[in-house]
Parts: sequence; structure tokens; C-alpha cells
Amino acid sequence: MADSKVVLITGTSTGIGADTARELAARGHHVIATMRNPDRDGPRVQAGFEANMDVTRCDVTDQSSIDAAFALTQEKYGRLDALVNNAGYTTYGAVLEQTEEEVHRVFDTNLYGVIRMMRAAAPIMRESGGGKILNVTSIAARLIGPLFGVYCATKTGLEAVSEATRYELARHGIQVCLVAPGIVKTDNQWRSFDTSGAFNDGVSEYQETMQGMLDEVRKVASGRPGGRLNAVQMADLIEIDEQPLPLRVPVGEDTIRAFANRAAMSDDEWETMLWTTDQEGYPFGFFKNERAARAQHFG
Amino acid sequence: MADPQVVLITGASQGFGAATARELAERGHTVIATMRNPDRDAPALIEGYTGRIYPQRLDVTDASMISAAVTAALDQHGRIDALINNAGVSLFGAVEEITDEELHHILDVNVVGAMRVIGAVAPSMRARCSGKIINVSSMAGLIGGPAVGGYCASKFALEAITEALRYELQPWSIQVVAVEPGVVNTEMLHGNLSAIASVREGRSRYQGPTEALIKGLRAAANRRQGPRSVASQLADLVEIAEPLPLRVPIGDDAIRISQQRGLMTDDEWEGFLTSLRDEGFPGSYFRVVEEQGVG
Amino acid sequence: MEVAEKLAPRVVIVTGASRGVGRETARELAFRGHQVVATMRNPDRDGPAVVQGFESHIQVAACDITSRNATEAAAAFALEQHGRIDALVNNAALLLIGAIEEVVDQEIHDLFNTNLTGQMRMTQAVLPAMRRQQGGKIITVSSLAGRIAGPAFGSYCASKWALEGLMQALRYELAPFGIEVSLITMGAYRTEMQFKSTFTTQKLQDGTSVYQAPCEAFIEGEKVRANLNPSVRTVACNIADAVEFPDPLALHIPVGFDVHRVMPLRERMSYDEFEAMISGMRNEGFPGSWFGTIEENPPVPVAE
Repeated sequence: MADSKVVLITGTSTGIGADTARELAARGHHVIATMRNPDRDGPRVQAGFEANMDVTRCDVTDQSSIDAAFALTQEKYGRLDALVNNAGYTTYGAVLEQTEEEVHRVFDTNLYGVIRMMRAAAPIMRESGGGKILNVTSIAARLIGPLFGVYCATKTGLEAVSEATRYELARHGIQVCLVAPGIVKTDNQWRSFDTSGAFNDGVSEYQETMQGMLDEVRKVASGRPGGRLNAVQMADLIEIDEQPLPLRVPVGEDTIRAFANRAAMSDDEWETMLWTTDQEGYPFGFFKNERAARAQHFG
Repeated sequence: MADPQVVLITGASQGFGAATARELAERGHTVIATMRNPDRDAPALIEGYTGRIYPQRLDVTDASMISAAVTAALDQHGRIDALINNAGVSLFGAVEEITDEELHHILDVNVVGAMRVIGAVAPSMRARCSGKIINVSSMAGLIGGPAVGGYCASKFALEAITEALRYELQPWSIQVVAVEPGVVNTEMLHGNLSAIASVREGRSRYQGPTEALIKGLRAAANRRQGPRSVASQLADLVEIAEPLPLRVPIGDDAIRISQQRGLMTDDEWEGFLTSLRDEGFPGSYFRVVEEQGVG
Repeated sequence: MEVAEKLAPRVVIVTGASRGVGRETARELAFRGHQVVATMRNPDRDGPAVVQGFESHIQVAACDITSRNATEAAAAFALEQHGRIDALVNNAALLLIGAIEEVVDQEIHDLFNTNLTGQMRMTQAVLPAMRRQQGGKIITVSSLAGRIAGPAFGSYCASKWALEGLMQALRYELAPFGIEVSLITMGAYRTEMQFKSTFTTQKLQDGTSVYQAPCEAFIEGEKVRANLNPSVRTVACNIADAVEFPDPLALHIPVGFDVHRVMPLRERMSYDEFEAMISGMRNEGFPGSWFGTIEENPPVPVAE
């Protein structure tokens, strides 16, 4: 049985974050579950694990709240064994229709937020001889889709900084690892799903396609399992003493197969498949709708 | 929440089987949990899950018992939405010293056992044009290694069965999947570990490296996780509404190894595997061969 | 002028040598000057045709690889005659056609008892001598069916995949003794093994299979194709080459145009792509006949 670890997780109010906090707590670890609104969301997540779970406020876009969360961790445990950077949200919109503010906001959470968290965690981990940082990426980091371009950009950016810090922090015994969930039935497709202003106002050039694809994504998501598998996989990665952890762990049969399919095809094969397939759903419906318009220019 | 499913799972007394039965019950599904000795093993399993986990006596080597159990399950629950062929045994020891009986036994449980249960359940799935058959294979179904040849043979065979059956049952919309867990800390590697006679009796020509492999694998298992990831992955596969893939590796090690194996040629892979010297599979084996040589 | 040194004759046991790949391999090896012990179940009936013309190079021995006594006797015979065993060619095998759902215990037991346990028995019988010699080659004839799987012959695939698993493990175990283990991945060749009615499941023979139509289409298609396939002489030459080859043998030795075409695809494609490709095929024989028949006559729910 693994020793009791001290783990800090961001974005634990719902979904994979909440599941992971509770899974780790159920296994007897000390969990610092951070969220933006602990008064509202904390009790539900903490229920039953009051003894080994602290719920505290942390907004990854707010440095002072980050400092406070790490100060609490230092003070209470004097160390940090693992950090799970889970906080994040999805943006939905054509790239060029997303406003400067929309783009900045999602990067602030999904990418800069993780860098801020790692910057705060690394000194504590170094102090105690090492640690693990799990960064929650997405199936979208490798399957770049239309209408999710900015979101994909935050995740490919996250993949880049994770891989780089993995090399940079190795000297301190800190392992950085990417965990890639597929489509999971969580708030990600509803509450934490930020549709572009252009779409909300009904003025997107892709309005109809966007509506159709949004319905498809939500339909698929509603038939998917919840975040438990991701929670269990992350808890396993935190407990495993094997070294080193893989750089990237796709979680769920959809991500495993999608990554395998993408890796087996050249860029040309991949693009040809997208433009020619008769499959339905996201993203295929987009390509079906756009095929004719494209053909006018590219044959 | 996915609609409640009726799931029959074999080998549910402990390990992957028990964890999966409980995970499915937690999620509100009905589980027919089969095992060889329910009098001994069922009470612990169903505690807290009465009315959701139904224990059932079943030995996968006994065709008439399988047919009776499946009939009883269909009578009671009306249908079986998913079958999880999980029952299995291990076999450690060099290929040179495996006896006919030992090889026949592992095939009879791990391969023919699964085929028997499939044969009993498939007609009812065909009648409804729906169902899922999930075969619990192993990383040993995708890669071979020293001192586990008999086990690899059974799991390679199960992989082939899965793939062929997938095509055969497709027309009735029955999905067939193999899952490949990596090294997981279960009784399979501890109390239930089974080795060939020559190893048990300490007279194997490969005694040193085989014992080192078992010891290394146990140590690796102790460092690693329990069966929860297997349980949640299997429960997800039962619930998922979209088409399922042919193979699903489970756990960071299995995902990583299946990807690496896929990218390497036979020569590259062999070079990589035989270079391993770490504690566990197969490094422990090669390390002892290197240190002690062979007789 | 220097004459290249003639390759020293090797002592080779070839199982299942009464017909097909086994017979051709035995004769090819004899032609190249090696000493062959050609084993078969019925030497009185099948032996003379194998030996003919190579009386000083081929000896026939009765051996049913489902019997441990028989495999050990065959190895002992080779040692007694020649004092050593340089290579074993595991070739004897059975075929089984029929859907997995309908295979009965006895059928799969018999199949595995020859295709897997039989190969293991024969291999075990030669290992003490090879270990003493500190060298030897175990060359096992497998098939494309050991690397991919498809409808109608899943049990056969299972037996060959199992053989893959066993031999891959054995390769690691025997490497320290200097004994090489290699698998011939053979494609479709014209052999007599194919399509005897006894190589189908009882259900198919009785005509009561749920999968009757696609299985029969598959068998018919393969019969047609078998006549178009190349003869097994290529396989025999490849095996003889492997016996003679001085450098370390690869794990897999692919033989056949179809293998050279399919395996790179299998290795390069993801499972999803490969499955889509297989399911999309409509050629005569494997696997197109199966899928074509299913497409033309979609099955209906069957109440039992």
C-alpha cells in the first residue's frame, strides 16, 4: 500500500477534479482541494472526508489566491507530494471570431494558470526531494478540430510546457506527466463551456454549423461515462512508485484509440479522411457542411 | 446516468472480477457475479450490494454448469447486456518444462472457458441484436516474455478469438472488445500465482531466473496500484453508447507498452526488452541470467 | 582457384512431412545435401513419395505429435542415426473452419493439441540435445493467421496466435543457450491441407450453423483461390535458407506476396484503420467472401 501523500488539486468543484479529490481522499491521502467558490461547492466535495481533505479557495488566474493555497499546504503538511493541474474550461468558436478578451481569458486559466501553479509548487517539491505534477490535457491536444481552435491551442501549449518542464525539473526529482481525458460527461460541455460572443449573439459566420455541432458534442458527452476512470488513473499515477512515469497517459478508450489513429496517419491521410468521410457527428458534420464551399477553391 | 445494464462477469470472487462487480453495482447496474465457490466467496463480495450483485456458481471448465447459470440469469433478469470474460489463471515457468496437462489446463480456463461462456450467452444477444462481450486479456496477449510462455500463449489466443468474434458478431450489433491490463496488484500475482511443477519443486533448469521474475513481478505489483483502474475502465466500457474499439490497454504501463510495441520492429523490440534489468517483468529474469549464466 | 567451402550438412527434423510444406521442405533440404528425419503419422502410406530420389538423405519416422512418447522417440531416432540435431522444423498442423460461437470443446482441444501443445512437445524433445550442442534452430511454421484474425477461422487463428506467444517467450528463454527460435509467417499457398470437410466444425458439416452461408462462401472462395496460389516450393526454400543461414535469425520470417503486402499495413495502421480495411474487402476467399455474404443476406435476430 502506498504511503499517504499530500496532493493539491485545482478545479475540484465538479467533474474530474471533484472525482479525483474524492478518490484520493478515499485512499487515505491528504488532499488540498482547491476551487474558486469553496463556500458554494466545497461541502459537497468534502462530504465524508472532512478528516483528510482541506477545501480552500484558489483561482489559478489570481496569484494571491495561489500563494494562499500553497501557504496553507506548507503550514499544515510541510511538503507537497503531488500537484494535479486540473482547472480549465472549454471555449467554442471559430478562431478568428473569438475576441481578444475571450482568447486571453482561456489562456489565463488553461495555460498561464498551470505555469503559475508549477512555479509555486516546484520549490516546495524540490525541498522535500521531489514530487509529481500531473497536468490535465485533453484528447483535443492531438485532435485539432474546427470551432475548438483556441481551446486546442491552450492544450497544445500545455503539452509543450509540460514536456519542457519535465526535462527541466528532472534534476530536482520532480516528474511532470500529462493526463489526457477523452470526452467525459462533466460540466465541461455545459457549465464550463464558454461559447463565443459571436455565436451567443447569433452573428457567427458558422452559426448553423456551430449549433448543430454543439448539439452533437453534448449528445455524445451525455452518453459518455463520468470522470471516475480519470480520477482512478490519476490516483494510481500518484501512488505508483515506478520511475519514471510516462510523459503522456491517454485515459479512456476514446482517447487511446484517437491518439493511435492520429499517430498512424500522415497529415495528408488525416486531412483527406476528414474531408471525405461520410460519418456524422463532431467534427465530421463540420467537414460535410464545408465540403462544397471548399471545393470551389481547391477542387 | 447510463441506463441500468445487466452484466455477467466470470471469476468475480476476487481481483479484477470482484472490483468490477462492485464498481458496476455502485453505478446502479445489475451484476451476475460468477465464481467457483460462492459459499466461501460471495458473502464478502455482496456485502452492501444485496439486490445488485447476484452471486452464481460457475466453473468455466464445466459446460453444463455454464448453460444452467446463463439460463438462470436470463430467467431472472430477462437479458444479459454485457458479458465480461474475466476468469483466468496464470502459469509461470519456462516453455521447455511445461507439461501437456499444465498447458491444457491454462488453455481450458483462459481460452476455451471464455469460448464456452460466449457460446452460452451469444444466442440471447443475437436474438436482441445487441450486447457487449468484453474479454479480459493482458499485456501478455500482445508481447511475449521469458518464463510466461504458457500464459502468453493463452492470452495471444484470447486476443485472436476476440478479433475474429468481433467480425462474426458485428452483423447482430454485438460488440466484442479485449482489454489489456498491465501489472496490477491482485491475488493473481500473490496467493493465486501458479507455477509449473518443476519450478514448484525447485528442480527447474531455469529456477533462478524464474524465481527472480516472480519475485520481481510481485515487488513491482506491490509498488503499483490495485484493480480499481481495471474496474472503472470495464464499467465505462459497459456504459458507453458509442462503438467500442477492438483493444483497450489499461494502466499507464499497458498504454505505454502497447504504443511502443506498435512503433518498433521485432528486432528493435527484442533489443529493448532484453536490455531491461530493472526489478519486475522481464528485467529480473534477464538480470539473473546475466549474473548466474545458464547451466 | 579456390572453391568455396561446401556448407556442412545439417541434421534436421521436419514434422508433418507427409505432404505440403513439410514434404517440400524435407526434399529441398535433402536436395541441398542435408540429413533429414521426416516425421509423419503414417510412414508406410506416405513415406515412399517423400523419400523417393533422396534415399541416402531422408529417413522417415513415424511420429504423431499429440503423443509425448512419439515425439521423444523421434528425437531419439535422429540422435541415434546422426548423433546430433541441428534444426527442428515444426510444421505439422491442423485447420479448423467455423464460427467461434459454435466450436465445441473436443474440436478446439484437438486443434490446440496439435497446433500448440504438439509443437511444444516436439520442441521440448529436441532441446536437451541442442543444449548439449550449445546450439540449434527451432523453426516453426506459422501463418498470417498467427498475426491477424478474421471471421470463420478464429479458432485456427487462436491456435496460431498462441503458438506465437509461446515461441516468442521461448526465444528469450533459449537465447542464452545459443538456440535460435524463429517463426515462418506463411501466406496462402496451394496445399492439400485446405478444405477437407474434416477441417470444418461439426455444426458446419451438419448444415445447421447460424453462420452457414458466410462460412460456405468463405470455403468456396478459398477453394477457387487455392488453385491460383503459388506452390509451396517457395516456402520450402525459405525454410531451407533459414536452416542454413549463418547469421542470427529474425523472430518472424515472412514468406509470400500476401504477407509482404499485409504485414506492413498491419504494423503501420491503427487497429481501427485495419479493421475498416478488412471489413471493406469483398474479394473472393478470405475475408471478402464472408463480408460479401453478410452484406447480401443481412442476418435477422434469431430467437433460440
